[in-house]
Amino acid sequence: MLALQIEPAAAMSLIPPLLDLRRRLGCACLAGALLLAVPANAAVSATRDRPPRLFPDYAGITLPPNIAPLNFVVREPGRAFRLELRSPHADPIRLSSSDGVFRFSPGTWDRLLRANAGQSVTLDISVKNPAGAWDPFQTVTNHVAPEEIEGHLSYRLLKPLYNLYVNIGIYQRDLHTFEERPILENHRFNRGCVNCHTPLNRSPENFALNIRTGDKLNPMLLVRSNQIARVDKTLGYLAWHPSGRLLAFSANKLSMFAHTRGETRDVFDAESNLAIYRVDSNELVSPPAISATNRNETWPAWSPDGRHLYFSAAQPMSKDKYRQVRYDLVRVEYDFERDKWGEPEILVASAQSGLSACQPKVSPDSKSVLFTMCPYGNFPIYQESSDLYLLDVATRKYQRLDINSDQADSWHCWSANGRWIVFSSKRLDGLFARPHFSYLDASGRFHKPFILPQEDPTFYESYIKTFNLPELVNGPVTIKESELAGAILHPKTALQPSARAAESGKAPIADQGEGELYRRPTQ
Amino acid sequence: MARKIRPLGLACFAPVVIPFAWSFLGPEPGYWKAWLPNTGLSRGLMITLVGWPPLIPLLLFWFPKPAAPATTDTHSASRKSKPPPRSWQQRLEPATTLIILAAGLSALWLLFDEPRQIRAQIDFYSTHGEHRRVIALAQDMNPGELDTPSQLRLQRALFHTGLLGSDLFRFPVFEDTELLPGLSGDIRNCRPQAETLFELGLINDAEHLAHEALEWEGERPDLFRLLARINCLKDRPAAARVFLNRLARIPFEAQWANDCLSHLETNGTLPDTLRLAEVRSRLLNRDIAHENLLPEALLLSLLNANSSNRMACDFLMTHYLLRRDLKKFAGLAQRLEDFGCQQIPTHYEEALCIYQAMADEEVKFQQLKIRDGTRMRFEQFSRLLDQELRLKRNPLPALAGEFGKTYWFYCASRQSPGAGAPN
Repeated sequence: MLALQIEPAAAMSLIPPLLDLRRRLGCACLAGALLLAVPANAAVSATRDRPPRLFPDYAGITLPPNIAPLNFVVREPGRAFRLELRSPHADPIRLSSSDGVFRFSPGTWDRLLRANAGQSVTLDISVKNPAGAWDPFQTVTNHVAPEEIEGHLSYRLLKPLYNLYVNIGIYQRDLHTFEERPILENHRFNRGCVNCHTPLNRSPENFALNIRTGDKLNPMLLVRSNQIARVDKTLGYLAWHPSGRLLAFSANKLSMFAHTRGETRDVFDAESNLAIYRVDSNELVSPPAISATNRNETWPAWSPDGRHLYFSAAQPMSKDKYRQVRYDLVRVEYDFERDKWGEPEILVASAQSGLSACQPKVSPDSKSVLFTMCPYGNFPIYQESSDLYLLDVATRKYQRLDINSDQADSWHCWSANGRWIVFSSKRLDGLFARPHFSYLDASGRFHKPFILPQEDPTFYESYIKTFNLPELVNGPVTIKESELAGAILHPKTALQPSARAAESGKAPIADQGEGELYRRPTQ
Repeated sequence: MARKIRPLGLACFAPVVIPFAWSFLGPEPGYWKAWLPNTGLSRGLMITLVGWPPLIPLLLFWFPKPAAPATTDTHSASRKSKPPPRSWQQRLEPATTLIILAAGLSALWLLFDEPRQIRAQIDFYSTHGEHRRVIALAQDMNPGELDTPSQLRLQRALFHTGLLGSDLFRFPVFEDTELLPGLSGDIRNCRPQAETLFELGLINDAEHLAHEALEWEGERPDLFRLLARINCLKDRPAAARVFLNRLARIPFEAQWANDCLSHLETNGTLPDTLRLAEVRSRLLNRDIAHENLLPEALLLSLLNANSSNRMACDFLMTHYLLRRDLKKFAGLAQRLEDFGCQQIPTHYEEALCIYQAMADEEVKFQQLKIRDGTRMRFEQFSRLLDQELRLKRNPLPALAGEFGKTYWFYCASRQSPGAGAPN
């Protein structure tokens, strides 16, 4: 019928294409027959339309060019595994594994990242199926940021749920390698408590940390240019003025309690206020602006320009109303030259947000504030709905970050270049807080967080300590542990701060800061 | 020389092999575990391995010194036929060795702390759910030797064997005895309490105390097992996995841990044999914020959440008995019928006798009743007490013989006769 409707000349012109079509059809049939004849285990598998499951999840992330190798394990069934890491400016890395664990050579990894700062790197992973064929997964693309992160991370390691401690310590991790070293472990000073390690402008030579010895001596260790002084005053949460001459601190009356449902532990702050420790003159002052009698202030944080002190503040309430305690995010202007304080200014009102704002950390350009919001109280790590928020100081608008998880995200810290944040998140398992990094790009978008890499990629699946208060530091703390311990037990310099009463607001309360949450056991 | 080293090697090898063989083939299975409870066979073996090297110098001392090189004098032939006389040091060496060995064994014997061993065995058997053995061991202890952690294990064992209401006051009990002391008192109370709290349904408090024990007592298999179960119940399977992975690293625990891990991977929960569903049914449906454990409030809430929680009921009734709060006890006693009790436990009967005598109020049951024998004994107890008081004598010595293991005696003396000096 078709031929009848076609002109003869036109029909003649169709002959070669028809022949070609017949030839192609024949070839296709032959190929099909050959394919059927080939043993099944040599068949070419279809590309899977999903990325592989990796642990830790290092897919689709942005990483700094100076981070340690992101070793991982492929959580897919397979008899063997292979990967190819390709980048525009370095030779590809090809690895194979029988158990899915991939560890990169530090040198090769370092060269790859350094050469590809600002570029994308791709990861092609295949698994050998039971039939012996290689099943490739969707390519994973990660981005290497042009900006570096600080070289070290300090944190406190402790088990997640106890009051009576035995082992506690502050450690530093070289982010470029896997080396972790103690800054100070409590067995060095009669098993006391150590907390709130706070570097000045991320310097490893200038920092403060609080000590609880349990012998009525709860001093602060002040390290300036690697010279240690013991300040015999109990201080709570610390914040350095960028000049290094003032330390804002909180004094808290914290108590721990338990729930029978949900999160096991919780913390109540019965009373708190802020004060200033003048490092040069060894004086304590309580300016009324930050130590009001009708308000509990805590979580101090200086802006990097030194012109504002940010903190959380709430109306005091009795303990039975702990669920109603919500903190505002507040700041006070400060004139460093004239030592003048402004009026407190509420930036995020709990009455409007319905949430409690804690742990403000001001970005290096002083334009935004990263803080945590939780349903109540001021201890967000014990509330699974705690999330990170970002406040634009100019517009007073704040937003919940997309990088949050359904578990507690808090204890955050900025890098000096403002491109990285590190925070503690319980997202892996809901119990242990682990340090996560996220990149903030020029458009103000936070990228998918990734966990602190470990040499053994399964490390976090059997590690029973929690990472508390991760702080970025731009080098290793070189002062010896023994020197820090010696300064606690037998100090060369022990300072007794004097209180300057003239301008004081509410007198500093007897601090029972976070260290008091933990006790040494008595048998 | 080889002949001398061989026995030395054998002597070194024997201390390793003998305990190992004994632990498996000995008359008391798990003896070494009991000696070093809950730390696993591995720890026992490790200590054995670490413990025997000090014996080496002793053994070396025992073995004769190598013979001096032979001289080439002309009298060598005659020396071969007649060995040289031993010096006084050589004669003394075996005797000295034996004396040192005897002294060491005596020191070991003197250092052997039998009550401590029994407490360790109580710990071991409690952890392994062998509650009747716990009770049997506790019966062997002298008054005052049962420390608080062992008492807590005993109370749990008594509940699981159905004897809490009838045998508690046969053992040392003081007025301030707490079923759930929380963090007050001995830090070693945390571990036994954690198991009890878990079984009651108070998984948050169990988790807290298990973590305290983990920090204080170190990594123990029973704590990892418990924390895995708790996290599973708290819908945190990844956290459960962390503890199971940790457990899998401990020798002899890997198989159990890996079985659980694969079950968790496949089914999202732990095997049914761990009776998680049972505990899940007991969980509280409301939050109670508390700083210290509040036994009465928490146990009442457990009962309100699940009226079939027999453990909560028995613990609450025992709490009232210990506090001598008989009005609340009587109010709760009627619940016994809900649990299908065929007979009122002896101590409960004894408490009801006192309550009915003092309050002049009958506690009504539908089917249960106080046995006539108990009523008669209570009358005897009352008569003897009255008699002693009339004679203005301390009634306790007279009561202790016949009624020492009754709740009546506890009420009169505020401690059971086996209590001895509080520890």
